Amino acid sequence: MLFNSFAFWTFYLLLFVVYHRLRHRGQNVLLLVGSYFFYGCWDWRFLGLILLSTIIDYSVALGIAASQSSPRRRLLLAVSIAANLGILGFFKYYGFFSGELERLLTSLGMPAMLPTLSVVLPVGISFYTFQTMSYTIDVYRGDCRPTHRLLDFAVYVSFFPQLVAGPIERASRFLPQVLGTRRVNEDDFRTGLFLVASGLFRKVVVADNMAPVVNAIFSTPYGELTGAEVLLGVYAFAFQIYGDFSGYSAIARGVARWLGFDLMVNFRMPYFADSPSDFWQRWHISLSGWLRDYLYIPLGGNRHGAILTYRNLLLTMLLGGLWHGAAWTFVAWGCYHGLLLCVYRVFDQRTPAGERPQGNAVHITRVVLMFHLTCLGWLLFRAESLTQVAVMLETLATNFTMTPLATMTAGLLVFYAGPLMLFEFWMERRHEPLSLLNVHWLLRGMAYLYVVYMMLFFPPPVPSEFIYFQF
Amino acid sequence: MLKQFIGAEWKVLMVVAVGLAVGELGMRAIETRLSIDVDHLKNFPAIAQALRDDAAPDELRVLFLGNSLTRLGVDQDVFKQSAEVDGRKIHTAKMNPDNTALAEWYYAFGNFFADPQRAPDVLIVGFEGGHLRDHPSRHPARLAHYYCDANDWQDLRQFDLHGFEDAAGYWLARWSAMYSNRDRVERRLLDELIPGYRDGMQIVNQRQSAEADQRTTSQPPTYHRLREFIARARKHGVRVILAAMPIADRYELDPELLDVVDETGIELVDCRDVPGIRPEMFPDGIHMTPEAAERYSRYLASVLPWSRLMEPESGRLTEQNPAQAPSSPTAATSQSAAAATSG
Repeated sequence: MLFNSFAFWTFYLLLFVVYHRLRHRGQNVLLLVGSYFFYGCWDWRFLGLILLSTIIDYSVALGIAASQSSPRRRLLLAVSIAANLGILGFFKYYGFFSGELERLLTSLGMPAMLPTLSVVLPVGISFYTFQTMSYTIDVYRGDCRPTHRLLDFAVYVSFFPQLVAGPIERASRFLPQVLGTRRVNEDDFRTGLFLVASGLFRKVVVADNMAPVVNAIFSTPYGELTGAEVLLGVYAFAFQIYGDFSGYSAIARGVARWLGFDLMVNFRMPYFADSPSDFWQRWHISLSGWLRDYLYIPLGGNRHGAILTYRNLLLTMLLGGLWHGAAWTFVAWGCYHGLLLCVYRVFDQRTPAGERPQGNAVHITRVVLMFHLTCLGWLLFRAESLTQVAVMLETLATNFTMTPLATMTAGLLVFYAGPLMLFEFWMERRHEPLSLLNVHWLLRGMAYLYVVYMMLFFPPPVPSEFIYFQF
Repeated sequence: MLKQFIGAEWKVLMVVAVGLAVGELGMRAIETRLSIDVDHLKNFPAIAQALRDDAAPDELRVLFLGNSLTRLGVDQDVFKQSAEVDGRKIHTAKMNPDNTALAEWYYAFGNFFADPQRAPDVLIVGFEGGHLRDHPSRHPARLAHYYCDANDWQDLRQFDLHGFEDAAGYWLARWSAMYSNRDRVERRLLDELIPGYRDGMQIVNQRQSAEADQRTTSQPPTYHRLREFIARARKHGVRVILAAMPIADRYELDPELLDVVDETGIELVDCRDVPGIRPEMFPDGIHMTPEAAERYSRYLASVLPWSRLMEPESGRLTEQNPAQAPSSPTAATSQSAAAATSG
C-alpha cells in the first residue's frame, strides 16, 4: 500500500474518521491494528518478524531497567542487539556474504558449497530494526524509561506512517507521544497539508517521472551511452532518489501530524549543503543521527586523535553504506562518503575560521561542488556494479555528445525538478522549511493547486515503489 | 471537530476546489479540440446513428473497426467503389480510436453497435501483430469516460481492471474529463515544452521494452476476449471479418489466433502482403500513405468473400454450426485478388 495510491488514502480516511472518535487507549489499539494491516498488505508473513522484534526488545528493556547488575544489563543489551542484527543480517545480508565467501574460498582453491537460500527481504526491516535497537540502548544508557505497556511499545515499533521507510524515531522522542494523549488543532492540519502536498509532489511528479529516464540510461549497454547521457542520468537519479525518499518522509510526517504525532525532520534541503558534514546534517537526518549516536560516538568519535577520528568516520560511513543494501556498490558509496568527510575535516581543521574565504560566490561554488560530489556518490549508489561505474566515468570523460535522450532528460529535469529546487532555494534563504505556511492563503492555495494539477496531468508512465522500501 | 481541525485553512482548500472545478469545466468545453481522437470518441453515438439512418434498405452496412491503422489505411470511397463494381450496394462507416486494440474495440462495438437497430451487417476489424490478443486496456480512463457504461462492469473486472487501484482510477475517470484525458494533456504539453521529448521518449520506451523482454518469459498468447467479441457480434447477426493489415515489417499470425478462426468459423483475410504496397509507403513503419491506403482499400474490397457476406440472414454462420464455415485465412493471397489491385 503506497502513499501515492488510492488504496492508502481510502485506508487512511477510514482510520482517521474512527481514530478521532476514540479515546487514547482505543486510538492506540486502532493504530496497532491499522499498522499491522498496512504492513500485512505487503506481505503478512513478515508480521511475525515485527512481533518477534517487539517482544524481544520490550522484554529486554524491562529486564535491563529491573536489573542493578552491570554484567546482566550488558548481557541483556547484547541479547537485544544480537537478536535484531541477527534478523537483519539473515534477511538482508546472508545471500550476499555467503556468495562472496564462496567466491573467496573458490579463488583460494577451497571450493565450498554453502547452503543457498532464496531469502525475500522484508520491507522496511532496516528501519524498524534500528528503531527498536535504539530503544533498548537508550534504556540501557538511562536516556529513556522503559514502558510496561506492550500495546504502546508495539505502536512505537510499528507506527504505519514511518514503519517502512522512516524517519527512524528514537524512543525518547516518540514513545512519550504514544503514551500521552494527543490532540490535533488547526496548526496540525495546516502543517500536515503542506507536508503531504510537498511529499506527493516530490514523489509523484519529480521522482516517478525521473525513474523511467534513469532506468533507461542505467540499463543501456555500456558502449551505447554518451557522456551527456551519463551526466544527465546521474543528475536525474539525484532528483529521483531525493524526491522519492524526502517525499516519503514528508508524507509520513504529514499523515502522522493529522493523527497528533510529530515525527522528526528527515531532510532539510540537502542539495544546498556546502560541505560533506553539512550534507549529512541535511540528508536522512534520522539515520545519520542514529549512526552518530550509536556507532560513531561509541567508537570514540573525535575524542582520541586524528587517526582514530578518521577511522571512526570511515567505519561509520562504511556501515551506513552497507545498511542501504548488500552490494559492493553500497560499500563503495559508504567509503566514498567517509573519505569525503575525512578530506573535508583535514582542510577544515587546517584553515582557521577567520581565514576562510567568505561571500556569496564562494558559498555558491561550494554548494555546486558539493552537489557534484554527491552526484558522484549517487553514481556508485545506483550502478549495478563497480564495472558499470568505471565504464560510465570513462564515457563521461571521453564521449560527451548531446543526443535526443540527453536533451530530453535536461528538459525534464528543468520542468520537474526545477520548480522544487526554486522552492527549496526560497526556503533556504528564509531559513524556514515551513515558509509556505506564512504566506497569504491565496498564494498557498495556488501553490497547492499547482501541485494537484502537476500530479493530475503529469503522472509517471509507470508508478514506482519507494526506493527506500528495499532498505 | 472537523471544522476546528481545518480552521481558517478552508479558504486554501476552497482555492484548490474552485481551481479544479474551473479546470474540469474548461476541459469539458475544449476536449473535442484537444485532439482529433477525442472528437472522434465523442462522435461514437453519431457514427452508430448514421450507419442506421443513412443506409438504404438495400445497402449492406459495413463497419470498419480499428485504430489509426484503419483511420489512415482505409479509404472508404475507394473501398465502396471497388466493392460496388459487381452491382452490390454498400454503406460504410469507420470507428478508429487512436492507439487502441481489441480491449477498446470490444466495448466500442458492445455499447454502440451491439443492438438490433444499429448492428452493421459486416464488421471488418483491422489489426496487426498482437492487437487481438488478451491484454488489459492501456487506457482504462478512456474506457471509463468514452466507451463504457455501468453494464460493462463485469467485463471490465474480468479483462481490464485488476485490483482496487484500477477500479478507483476507473470511477474517477468516469466522473472527470480532466482525469480521463490527462495523458493527452501531458503529451501535448511536454511535446511543446521539452526539446526532443518525442524522440527521447521513443528511446526510453525502446530500452525499457528491451529490458522487459529480457525479464519476461514468453507465454503463448490467449484470445478469450476475441471469442467473447465474436459471440457478441454474432448474437446480433453481424458477420465478423478479421483483416490482418500491412505494415512495413511483416509479422506472423499467432497459431492461437488461427485456432480461434478455425473454431468459430469467422473470416480472416490476410492482407499482410498487398501487391503494390512497399515498405517505404509506411513513413513511420506502421501507418500507410494515402497511396498505400488506396491500394489496400481496393485490395480489401476485392478479397472479401462477398457471396457469403451477401447471403440472406438464414444462411449466416453461427457458432453452433461452425462446420459450414471456411476455416483458414482466405482469398487475400489469391492471384485474382492480386490482379485486381495491381492494375
